[in-house]
Amino acid sequence: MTRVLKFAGIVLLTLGAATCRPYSTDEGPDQPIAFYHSVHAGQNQMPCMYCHTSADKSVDAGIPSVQLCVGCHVPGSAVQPPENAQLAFPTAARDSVWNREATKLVDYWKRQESIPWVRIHDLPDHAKFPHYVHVNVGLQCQTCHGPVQEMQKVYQFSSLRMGWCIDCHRGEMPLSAAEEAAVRKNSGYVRKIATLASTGNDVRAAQKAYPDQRASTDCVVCHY
Amino acid sequence: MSDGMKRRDFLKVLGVSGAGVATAGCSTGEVEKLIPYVVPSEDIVPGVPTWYASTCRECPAGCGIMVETHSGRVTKVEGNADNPISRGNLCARGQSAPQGLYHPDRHRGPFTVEEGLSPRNVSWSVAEGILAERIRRAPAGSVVFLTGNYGGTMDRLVNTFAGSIGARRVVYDPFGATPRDVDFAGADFLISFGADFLETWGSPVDYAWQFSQMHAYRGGRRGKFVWVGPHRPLTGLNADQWIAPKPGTEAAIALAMSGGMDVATAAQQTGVEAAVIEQLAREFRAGRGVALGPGYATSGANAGALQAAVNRLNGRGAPAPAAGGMRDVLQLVEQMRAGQVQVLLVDGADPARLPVQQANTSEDSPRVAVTRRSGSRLPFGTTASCLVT
Repeated sequence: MTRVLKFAGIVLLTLGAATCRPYSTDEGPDQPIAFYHSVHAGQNQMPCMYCHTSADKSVDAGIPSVQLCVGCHVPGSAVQPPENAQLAFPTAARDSVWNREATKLVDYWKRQESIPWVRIHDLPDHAKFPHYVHVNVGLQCQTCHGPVQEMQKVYQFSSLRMGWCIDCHRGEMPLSAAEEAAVRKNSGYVRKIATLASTGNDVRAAQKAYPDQRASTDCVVCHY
Repeated sequence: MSDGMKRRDFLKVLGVSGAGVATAGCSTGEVEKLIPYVVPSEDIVPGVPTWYASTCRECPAGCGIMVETHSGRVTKVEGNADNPISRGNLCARGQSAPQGLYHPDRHRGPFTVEEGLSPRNVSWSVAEGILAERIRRAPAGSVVFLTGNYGGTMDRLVNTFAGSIGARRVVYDPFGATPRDVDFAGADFLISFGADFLETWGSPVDYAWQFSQMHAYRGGRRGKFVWVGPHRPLTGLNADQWIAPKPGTEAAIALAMSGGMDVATAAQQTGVEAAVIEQLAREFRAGRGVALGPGYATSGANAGALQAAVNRLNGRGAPAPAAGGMRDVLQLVEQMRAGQVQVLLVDGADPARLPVQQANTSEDSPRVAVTRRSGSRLPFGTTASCLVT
C-alpha cells in the first residue's frame, strides 16, 4: 500500500504543478477580434484614455464601447443606421488579416451586439483596486501593465499579487524619476506623514521601517 | 497492523491527501469576459453615481427630489435641499418610490384580459388597435375617461384627447382637493379640523417642517396646536388640545369661532362646552390663527359646510367646487349600472378600491361589455377586472 500511495502522491503533485496557471505568459489569450495595441497605441499613438475612458474617474478603467471603435472604422456610423455599416478603407491593398478582423467589428456593430473581450487583468473579489487613485497620483499605465503599445496580444505583465502591490506602496519598487516626483507630490499618505511630522508628532516608526513609503499599507485600504 | 496505523503510513497518507487537495484547489479557473456597451450612455461612469433633480409624484404635493443612479438604475431618492416644498426632506412615500419603479410585478407592456382566460401580452400596435376599434364602435356619449386630478400641460392634453374621441372626462382624486400652499409657519395658533397634515393631507413634508417652526420655542413662547375631530391620528397626537365634538358637527365649532354662529347654539349642537369654544375663538384671534381642514370629512355629507366654515375662519371667501370628489365617480357608477357606459378609460385613478364599485363590478361584467384601459404600472384592483389593459 505504501508504494501505491507514494506513486499516487508523485503523480498528483506533478499534475497539480502542471495545472497551476502561470501569471505571466509570452502571449495573451485569443480575443474575439485580433485587436493590436501595437497598431493603435503604438503606431497611431492613441492615448490610453481615449478608449479606457474611466481610468481617471472610476475604480474601473473601462473597456471601450463598440460605438467608439466604429467611430473610426465605419464612416458615418453616428448618423447612418447600423444595418448600412461599411468598413472604412476596405481596399485590396490592406493585408487580409486587417480586413478580416475589421469586418468582424463591423458585423458586431450591424447586429448591435457587444464584443465579448477576454479579461486579462483580474483580482479576486476580496481585493479592491481603484484605478482612478493610481492614475491621478501620476503613475504611467505602462508601469503596471507593461509595454502595451508594443503588444499585439495583451498579456498580464505584472503578477498583480499582493506582495507586488505592497512593494510599490512601500517604495521598494523602482519608478521612473518623473513618476517618483509626481507620486511624492500627490500621495495622500506622504502628505499625511509630512503634516504629522511638521506638527510635532513622532513619525520615526513609520519612517524607519520604510523610509520611501508612497502609500498606506493599511489592510482596510484594499480589503473592505 | 490490527492495533492501529504506523506513524510512517499516516504521514504518507497525509502527504498524498495534501497533494490531492492542492491539485483540486489550483485550477486554471474560468475565463472571465469583459462585455462593453454597444452604445454607452454619456451620463454613466462605472462605480460613480449620477444625480438627477426630479419631482416626486407619489402624492399631489410634488416635493423636489434628488435621485441617485448607478449605471442607469435608480438606487436612492432623497429630498432636494434647494426645493422650497421639500427643503431636503422626504416622506415615507417618496422614500419608497424606487420600490415602485422596479416592482417585480409591474406591467412591462400592454396586455389583454378576457373573460375566463389568463392575461395575454400583446404589442403596442395591437393594443392600440383594439382600443381604437372599441372607441369607434361605441355609441356617442358612452365613452368615459376617468382620470386623477392633473395640472398644467397634462390636464390640457387629457382634455384635448377626451374631446377628440368624444369622451366625457370624470376626475376622481381623493387626495386632490387639499390645499398645498397653506402658510402657518409663523402662526401662534393652529387648529385642524380633521386635516392630518403631518401624514397625508395637502403637502405633508412642507407642513411637517412648518409645524416644527410654529410649534418650537421661539423667544420663550411656542405656538399652540388644537385638533378637532372624533379621534386622534398621528397628527392629532401631536396636538396640545383635543376637541371632540359630536361627529359631523365640526363645522359648528368653526362657525362659532368666526362669529357665524352663536356660541350657545354651537355648544348645544356639538356637545363641547361654550367656555371652551369661546376660549378657542379668543386664542385664534390673538395668535394670528390658521385653520386647516376638512381632512377625513371630505368624503362625508357635511364636507361642503365644513370647508366653507374653515374658509370663513381663515378670512377667505367661498371655495370653488372641488374637482375629484366622490360625487362625480358615484354618478359614473350609477351610469355604468344603467348600461350607459360602453368604454371606460382609466388613468391615474383606482375606482375599484371603492367598496361601492367593488360590489358593482362582479354584477356588471357579464352583462355589460365594458372596456377599461388602465394606465397604471402596477396591478391595482381596477386592472384585475379589466378587459383590455
